[in-house]
Amino acid sequence: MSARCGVGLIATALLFASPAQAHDGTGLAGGFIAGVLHPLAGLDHMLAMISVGLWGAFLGRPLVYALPMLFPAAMAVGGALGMAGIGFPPVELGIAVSVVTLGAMILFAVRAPVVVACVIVGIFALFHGYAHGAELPSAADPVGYSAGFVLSTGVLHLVGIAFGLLRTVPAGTVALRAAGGAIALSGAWFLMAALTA
Amino acid sequence: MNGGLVPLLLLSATIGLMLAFVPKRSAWLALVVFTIAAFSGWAVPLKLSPPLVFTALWLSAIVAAILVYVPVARWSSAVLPLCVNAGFWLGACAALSANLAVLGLGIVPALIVIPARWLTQQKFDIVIKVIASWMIAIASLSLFVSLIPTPGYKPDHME
Repeated sequence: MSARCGVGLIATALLFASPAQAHDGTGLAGGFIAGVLHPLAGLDHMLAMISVGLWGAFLGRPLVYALPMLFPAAMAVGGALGMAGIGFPPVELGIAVSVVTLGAMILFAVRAPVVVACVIVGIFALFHGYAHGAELPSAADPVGYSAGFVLSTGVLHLVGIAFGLLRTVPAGTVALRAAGGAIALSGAWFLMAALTA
Repeated sequence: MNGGLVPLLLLSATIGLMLAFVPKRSAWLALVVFTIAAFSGWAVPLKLSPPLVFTALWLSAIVAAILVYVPVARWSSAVLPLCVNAGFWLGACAALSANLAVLGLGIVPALIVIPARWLTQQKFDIVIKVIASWMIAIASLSLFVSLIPTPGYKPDHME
């Protein structure tokens, strides 16, 4: 059932992406394509998004869909804080910690309670949203940009969930935990870079 | 800066997603009401300011997307007023461009209700809920960016 659900999610996301892509606003920096590329351009963002999907798939229902649903909403709140320029803990540090933590959760197969998992992912989403919000353009096409990066984020979650479905095959769990370890290591590197910057 | 067809498409699609959880007869009725309200919003010369129209449009989209998660969406008494409201603001938004084709195109995504209803019948309603969460995020960010102007495009934090 979870495999069918994952395939359905991916198919819907792909179907959904095409018509929106036809409306790229002005074509200036800050349009739909810029929004789509934004989470893909930074490895820290990308790994964190994929980790959210992976960890959700690891934890199973209801978190397999609750985390990808919670993330965009919390990200929007973080985005609003970023746009308003409200003070926030160092964003680079928060994003790096999110990659380390989520990678470690997968590596150690941490089965966090629903509320705890939601709080962890929600807090990290605030950091990612803040980074996006601070860079969200008022010029060009902010609606297209918002749509682009939210859809891109959602698709990265779905990619994580799709990889997470590997746990149903033999040795899949080991491969996933190894991937979690690699993500955590990458996060540690980002953390070092953020601390020494 | 708001504008173009995208806000209309997103509101219309969100209404379609919401109607996937409403009984079939009520859903079709709501769709007709939404369309009539949209044409009314387009036709009535109220001379509303664009910021007001877009704020109302994004708020309508957020409420419609939230209703996807709430059982109240199954009550047509709650859905019909929302469709009237959303349709009106969609029409008012299309009127800003003074192009009837924009209104026509803007209403079409509400037909996403057809595949969305099929998904709910196949017990894949979670797909609709995930997409609704994306709609909430997009609408919220678009609303915020119209209320809180940012300096514009700046180098990314990774650059």
